[in-house]
Amino acid sequence: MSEIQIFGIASQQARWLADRQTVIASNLANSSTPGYKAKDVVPFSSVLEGVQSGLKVTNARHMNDSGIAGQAGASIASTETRIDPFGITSRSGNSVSVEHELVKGGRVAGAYSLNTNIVKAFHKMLLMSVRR
Amino acid sequence: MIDSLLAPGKIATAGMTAQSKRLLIISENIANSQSVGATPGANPYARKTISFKSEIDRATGTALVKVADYGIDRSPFRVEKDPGNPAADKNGFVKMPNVNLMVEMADMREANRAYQANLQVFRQARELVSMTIDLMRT
Amino acid sequence: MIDAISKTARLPELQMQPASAPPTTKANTVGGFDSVMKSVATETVNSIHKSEMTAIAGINGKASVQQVVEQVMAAERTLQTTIAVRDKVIAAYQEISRMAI
Repeated sequence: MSEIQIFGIASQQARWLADRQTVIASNLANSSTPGYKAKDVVPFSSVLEGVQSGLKVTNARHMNDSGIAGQAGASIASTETRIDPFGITSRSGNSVSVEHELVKGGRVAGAYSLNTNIVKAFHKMLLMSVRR
Repeated sequence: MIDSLLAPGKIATAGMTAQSKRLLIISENIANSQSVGATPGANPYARKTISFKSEIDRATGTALVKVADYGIDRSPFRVEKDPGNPAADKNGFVKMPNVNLMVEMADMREANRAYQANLQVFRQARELVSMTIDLMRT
Repeated sequence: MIDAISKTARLPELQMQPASAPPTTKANTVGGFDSVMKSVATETVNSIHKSEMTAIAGINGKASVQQVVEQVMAAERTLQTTIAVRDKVIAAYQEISRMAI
């Protein structure tokens, strides 16, 4: 039953990607705001580590039988933001690079598409496997 | 904490609103770049400015953008020699608006770019929601 | 879904008791099937109910899009699995009741 984990991990990644998209949106909305520093989320690997240590410590009943970690708001490792270390600061104190943000956004979209297609495929496979 | 998938749309909307207000000010400046005063020696059109500030939205906990302030540019007016002008003072000098078309055009380009970037975020957010809902189909 | 699969694995122990067992063999077997069917039905109802609650919350704007979608898909998986389990249980029961005659 090792493929059951995929739904839990994909759920965490989807949440992380949506959070990253939100931060990118904030950065681009504030690309002309003086003193605004570009932000980014923590890497997904640290979110995953949080999940794994969470599974060791907490009761497995926190995950329902399809691997979804309870409420979306109370995910095991919440996404934090940090100041983007690669930002170049302008004279007004703004460190947002529009191209950099758009490129990140493109990557988010690609990863999200992969995520949903993986979930779709595994969902289909599981339904097929119990059918006959 | 509200829906992370819907938040980018809201943020991008705030960004687009702010940039279009900025474009409004810029076009006002450009349109009035030659507007002199009505009476001799009167002050001409003064360049308008706009500034933004970042504000944390209570519902989502994310950073939106808002117009902080509208202002007037206090830099000195240009003076031109134009005795025939109705706004010319007794020496024939006319005070011209302190609008530099080059600056305004560059500002407009940047505002447009920022607007387009926010629009891209908006479109992409809609795309992600669509992808998620599509999962449920058949 | 893991629960449903493990229920299927437990089905062999619901077969006929050995002859040395108390004479209520058939009753025992029927009791075993009974509880499996009951828990299968309960699980299906719970899964659909949970998915319905999340969907309503989604419509009201209380749950996120991701939550609603995940819940609906999980309910679909659980439903398919429990239907398959139910069918197997019924088939096994019919097989056994044939043998008794």
